Amino acid sequence: MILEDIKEKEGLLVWGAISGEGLEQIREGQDLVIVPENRPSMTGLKYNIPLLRRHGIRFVYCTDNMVGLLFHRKKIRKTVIFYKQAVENGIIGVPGTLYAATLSHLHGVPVNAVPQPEIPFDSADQDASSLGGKSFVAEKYQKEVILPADERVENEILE
Amino acid sequence: MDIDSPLLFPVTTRARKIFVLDETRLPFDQHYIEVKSLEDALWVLETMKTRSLGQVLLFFYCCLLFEETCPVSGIVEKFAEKRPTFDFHLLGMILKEERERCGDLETAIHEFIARFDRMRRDRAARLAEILPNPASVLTICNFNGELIYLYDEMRKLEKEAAFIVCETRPYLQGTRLTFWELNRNRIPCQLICDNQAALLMKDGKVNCIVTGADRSTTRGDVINKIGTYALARLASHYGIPFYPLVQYPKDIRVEDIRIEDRPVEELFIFLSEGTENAYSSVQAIYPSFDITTHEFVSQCIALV
Repeated sequence: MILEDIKEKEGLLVWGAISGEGLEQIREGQDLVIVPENRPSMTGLKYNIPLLRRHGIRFVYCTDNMVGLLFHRKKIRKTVIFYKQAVENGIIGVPGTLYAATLSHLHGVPVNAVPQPEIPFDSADQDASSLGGKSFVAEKYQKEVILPADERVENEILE
Repeated sequence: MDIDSPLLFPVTTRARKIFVLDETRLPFDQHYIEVKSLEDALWVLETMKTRSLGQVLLFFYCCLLFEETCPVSGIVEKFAEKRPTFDFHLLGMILKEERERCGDLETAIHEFIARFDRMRRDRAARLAEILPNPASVLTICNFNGELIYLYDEMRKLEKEAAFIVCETRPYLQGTRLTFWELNRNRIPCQLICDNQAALLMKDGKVNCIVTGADRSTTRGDVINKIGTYALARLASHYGIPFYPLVQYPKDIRVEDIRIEDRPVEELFIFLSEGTENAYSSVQAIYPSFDITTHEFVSQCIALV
């Protein structure tokens, strides 16, 4: 598949682990689900894709940094963010939640925030230094890797 | 400062042989592939063993060594077929002009490469003048040692600089090449996942963005590694300047430049050895570049 195979506004972008409630919304929309990998833990690849496959839902996988191009080319109709915690005036989500939400906001794409489930998912990758459990950074430089944190997104970005 | 990076000139020629630094094996192994034919060169290009400046040098040396078997115009077409976004037709024209000026191809190539290196050093010096002090520079992918030049020029101006490097999925050029070469030269740098960029911008941890550019237009639009557009768009939102380093902008519509779609198996290439096949049935996309239009570009820093 190539980018141009995705029709305008055909995509529904998900960020974070998909919940049962989210799955229902996805089914109703009958969209093509855009599944970024969700670094560092690769939740998109290791949790969301098997889930969507089990439920027979159409999806396309990409790296997180492709999301901007997908917005730019108007491929995304809606974004669903699965958050960890609701807070006053916003939500707190997994790393990259602000990236996905702000890019949605800047491209006029509506964002729906849904609580994420507890997932039985333990990743070998905790930060950018490793991928698939393999380290790409020498140990002496490990302290220069910025540990990803949960990210807060204000309601004004989500609207 | 003494600069130590094999990425400054990743392709070399000795005794009428071409040696290509296999960038896919960095940072673990500094291995050079001997290119004995045009077919070898095309394989090296197609499999991303080299890219960016490396593909330019590879093109020049192929013209030098293999012109007897294939004219320069044919080499241009073969290279463009493998990497369609990059402007090999322009390189062919540059080579033609240089050859006419110098008289022979070998002198033309060596003079051009030496001049290009002086020009990129000068480009880094001009950017150093513009950047804030201290500069916290967010960057993506790798542009062959030019950030080392930039750091050196910042120090000459008694400016402080530190770099935050996006890992640059899927090939991890940020992690494997840029973070590696900056550390190797004892330049302050940190590494992040691509999606952490927005939080760092919001928290004021970044005060400028510097990237390379594979293509650019005279209007100020750039095409660069996938993920660049998101950085530029977010930077514009957070009021952070975005400076791409460009060369040879053309008076063309950026929309007319073909964006290369690469094999989707490459999304899984570094995930873990042997797992590419496990994911081969995953429906995916891999557009390898994106377009940043001029309204999100603060200033293109050009070669002059």
